Parts: sequence; C-alpha cells; structure tokens
Amino acid sequence: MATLQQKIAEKFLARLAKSKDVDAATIVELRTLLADNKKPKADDFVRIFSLPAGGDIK
Amino acid sequence: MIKLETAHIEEVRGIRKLDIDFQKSTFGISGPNGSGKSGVIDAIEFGLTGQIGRLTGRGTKGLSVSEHGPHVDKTKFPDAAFVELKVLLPGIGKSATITRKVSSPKKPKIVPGDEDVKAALAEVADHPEVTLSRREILRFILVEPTKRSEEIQTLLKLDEIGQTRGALNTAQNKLQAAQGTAAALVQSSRDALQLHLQIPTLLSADLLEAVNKRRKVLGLLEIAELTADTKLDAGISANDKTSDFNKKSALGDLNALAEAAKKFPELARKQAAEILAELAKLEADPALLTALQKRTLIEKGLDLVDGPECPLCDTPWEDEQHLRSHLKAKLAKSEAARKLQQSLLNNGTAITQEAIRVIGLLVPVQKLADTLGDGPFTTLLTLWKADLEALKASFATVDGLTGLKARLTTGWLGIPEAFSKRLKALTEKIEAKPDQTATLDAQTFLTTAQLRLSDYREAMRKNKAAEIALKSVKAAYDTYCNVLEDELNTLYEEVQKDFSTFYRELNGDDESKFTAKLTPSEGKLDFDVNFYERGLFPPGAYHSEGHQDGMGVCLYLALMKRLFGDRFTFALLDDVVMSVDVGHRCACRRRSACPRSPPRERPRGSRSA
Repeated sequence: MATLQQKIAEKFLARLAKSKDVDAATIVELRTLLADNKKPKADDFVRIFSLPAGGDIK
Repeated sequence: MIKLETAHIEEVRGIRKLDIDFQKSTFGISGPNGSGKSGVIDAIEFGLTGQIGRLTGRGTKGLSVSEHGPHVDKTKFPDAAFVELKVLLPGIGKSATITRKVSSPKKPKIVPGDEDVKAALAEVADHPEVTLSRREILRFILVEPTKRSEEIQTLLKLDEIGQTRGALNTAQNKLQAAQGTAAALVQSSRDALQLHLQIPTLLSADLLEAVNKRRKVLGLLEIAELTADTKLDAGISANDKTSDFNKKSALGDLNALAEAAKKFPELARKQAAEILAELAKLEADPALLTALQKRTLIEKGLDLVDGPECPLCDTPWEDEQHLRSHLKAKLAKSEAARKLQQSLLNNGTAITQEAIRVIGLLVPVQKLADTLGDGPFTTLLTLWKADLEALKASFATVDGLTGLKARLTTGWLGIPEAFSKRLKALTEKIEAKPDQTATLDAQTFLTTAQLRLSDYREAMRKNKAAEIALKSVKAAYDTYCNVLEDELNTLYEEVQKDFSTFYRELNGDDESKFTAKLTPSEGKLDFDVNFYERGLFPPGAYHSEGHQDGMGVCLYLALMKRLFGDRFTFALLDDVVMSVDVGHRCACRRRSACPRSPPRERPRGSRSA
C-alpha cells in the first residue's frame, strides 16, 4: 500500500509536470530527490530550481 | 503487520519472569491495581519497538527506558531485563523470534535474520502507535483543534509531508532573496552602462546610435543589430587597446558618485530606523529576545536533524519524529518572535540592495583611481567596497543585524572620512587632463562600453536564471500545498466516515443515527459529533465519559485503518475502555475483531478479573 507521502509526491509531480513554469529536467531531479531522500532539505530544492543562466537584451 | 504467538518477559517494569501464550489470538488481561497488567503492555511494546510509551511524552521528564525500563530491583543490571516475542508475520508467511534487551534497545536479535523478516519487524518498530493507553486516547478527542491536528498528523506519519512543504517554503524564500540581489546587480550594471553611453534610455537603438557614432570616427563598420554576441569594440585591434581610460566617461562616473553621495546620509534611513526600533523592542523585552534567540537556534537545529539525537544538545530521543515534533512545538510558541524576525530580515534585505547600488558606483571610480595612480584613494575605495560586501552577510541574519546596532545609529554606509576630499581631488585631476583626441576618445569609449555591456549581460543572465528559479519554486510550492490539502481533505473525509460507522456499531442501541464532522483548516482540526440528533457539538460538550472513551477507540481504529489498511491486525490497548459499560465494551471487542473476549490468563499476582 502506497503511503500518503508517496501518493502526495506522485500527484505533486504529475500536476507539476503540467505547469509551464517547471521544465521536464527539473521534474526528473525532483522525482529523484523525493524518491531517494525522505527528508529533503531547502538547499536541495534551491539547487534543483537554480537553472543555468539565459536571456539577453531585447 | 503481525500476530503475537508467545512472550517471555524477564525483569521488565513490574514483572520478574512471565511466559504468555497468546495463540495468535485476541488476548485480555485483567487484575487488581498493581498486579502488572500495564507492565505486560509495556514489555510487549518494548519488545516490538524498543520504546515504552508510558516513559515518553508529556509529563515524563526524567523518565527513560534505560533507567526505568528494568524491574525496580534490577535498575543497575539492565542486561538482565529483556523481552522475547515469537510473532507470526502473515504478509510473508513466516514466524520469527525477536529478543530485545533494555541495555541495547535499538539492537534486537531477530531469528531468522531474513531481510523480509527484518523489514516486517522494522515496520512495526516504526509504529509505536500500535500501543494505545487510556492516557493517550483522549488526546484525539478532548484537545484543542491545533493539538488534535498535530497529534493526528504525527500518528499518520504526516511529519515528512510537513517537512517537505517547509523545505519548499524555505527554498522559495531563499530564491526570492537571491532574485532580489540579482535584480539589484542588474540595475547597478545597467546604470553604469547607461552612464557611460550618456543615452536617455537603454534601448538597443539608442545604444547603437552612441556606439556607431564612435565607430564612424575610427572608420569601423556600423553595427546594424544588437545580438547576444555583438562586440561593440569589434574591429579595434588588441594593439590599439592600450587603455580603456575615457575622459568624458570618467568624469561621468565621478559626477554620478558625487551626486549620489549627496544623498548617502538619507539612504535606507527609514529601514535602518525600523531595525533600530525593533532591536530596542527586543532589548526591552527579554522574553521576546530569548524567544528569538531560541528560534534562530532551533531553526538551525531542525535543519541539522538527521536521526534521533538532538544536534543542539546531543540528547538522544526515542526517534527522530519525536525530536522534530519537540523542536517544532518550541518554534510554534514564538509567533511574535517570528514576525519580528521577518521584519528585521526584510529591512536588512532592502538595505543590502542599496549597498549593491553603492558598490556599483564605487567600482568604476576605484578602477579610475588605480589607473591614474591615486594609491590612497584606491585603497580607501577598495576597503570601503570590501566593508560593504561583508555588510551584506550581516544584514541577512538577526545576529548580524544585532551586531550592527552602533553602525546603524551612526550611518550604516560607513562613509570613509576622506572620501569627499579624495573624490574631489581625483575629479580635479581628470578635469585638468587635456581632452583626448577624437580617435582615442572613440577607442576608449568603445572598449569601456564593451566591458560594461558584458557586465550588464552577465547580470541579466544571472537575474533571468534567478527569476526562472523563483517562478519554478513558487509553482512547486503552490502545487505541493494544493495537492497536500486535497489529499488531507480526502483522508479526513474517510476517517470521518469510518469513525461514524464504527461508533454507530458500538452504540447502535441508542445512537444509530450518529454522525461526526472533522473540519481541517490551517493547522487546525475541528471535531464535532452529533448528540442524539440535537446538532453537532464538541465531543466533550454533552457525551458521557464512557461515550468519549468509545469515540477515542473508534477514531483510533479509523486512523489505523488509514495507516495500515487491511493489514492492521495488532494493537495493544491499555485501559482504553475503562469508563465504558459492559454492553458497549462487548461491542468494542467485536469492533476490534475480538470474538473470544474472556481473559484466558492472568499475570502472576492477578487477583480478580
């Protein structure tokens, strides 16, 4: 029986995958973090969401 | 889950030596006060989990399994105190024996040592809530809504979910602060570029017009379009780039700093005053100061928790969950301190952004002073810049802000005494220089423009990344909260439904239309029950104590169903139906799948049923 935590993590990732604000690579990283580490730290999330730089003068 | 076959208990709690054959069935124990009934519960709980609930939690300070687990005559010989349980593990179709000594509660001997056996027993060890005492049962019923929410979330092991949400929220705050800093750096580098170009707006058309005017002087091709890899000084050979000193630009930088310096005393004055007022409030209220200091310490501690040992004081806890709950409860008590902390840090962030802008004005002048050999002014500006850089870290913590009290009073910017004099001297020195030739002016203009454009682009890239990161983490946090709320609502609806069904089974004789309502909201869980169809009331309002005990059992069973599903086959209930009359007690036993209710065995010393 999946725990409530597992159910929430799965639904969270599925719903987030539909968001235009989060890319697929980030979802993969989040999935790994939530699967590997039951106690993710804030800095784990900071690392995952800090994407490579982009953008210029328009 | 498990079924208990036999227990052998030696020198644990009030028991010297006892063997019980449970025959994998429901088992009742009765006897007079002090005959050892609860000792059997304690011993079995210890054998399965390494813990004794009676010795932990509220009101048990100073009690521990190591000191108070052994029989009172064997406290100095904890090695003699042990429990051996034979259990059936229906999920894997195996029997196993688990032996646990009080001297080493975390290292049970398990035979056979198969991995699946160990995993099944580890699951039980991770659920001390299989033991329910009368003292605990009412914590779900007769408590304030916030406490009930905490208790139920702890029972259902929802702490992990709360931790994930908390970590996402902290990450969001960190990335928001990082984006604020990145935006301030963009503004600072943008101002530097625009100042050099002397254009009204930083649109690419204005930029190209200023640049192409100089390129024309040098006979270079005009740049038609500004792209990500455009080099404004393209075509100037490396040999020609002997210096990037541009007199007009230099005077522009000096004038900009001089103009800004006129307003330095007023810079972020409001925020500095607010920080000072908040620090004064802390000094005047020692309790608030203590709460804030503890809060900072506890936050650090919570972040470092990685096991049952407190990272702040090395105290060993029964398990990590209890330690986390303890630290969170302490944090919850300091809401006023939290608000003050947030206000202090917000003001600190605002001042940091002003510091970044000032640094942005100092850097080109520092470079000028160095280029023109003004050693003392170069040193002054280098030290001042380093001081402001270090100040940014102090503005990011409450401890750092507290240490800046004197500086906030005299002027946080810490303007060096000789600054104005030396700025004026450097300006006069540059003004006295002969005007550059048109060619040299154009060359140095383009070289400096390219350097500043590169700085601006880099700042833009970092800010863009910071914006994307912030948007992503906000989306993730909002999504997590929404999913969590949906799931908890569903869970509470199911618990509410099961609870009502179970209670009607127990009290079908006079409460066949009983209903209940669990209402979760922002960390609270309101709980109301129908009193003989007169409406919904808190359980303690009109129902008798016996009915409240029955509610406690029903709510416990409904919660355990959520936790284990159909695998919930084992619970140790200690006096939980003490106030329930005989008829309803029988119904309780039926509900707990207890077909044979009479006790078959008594612990040694029992005198009556």
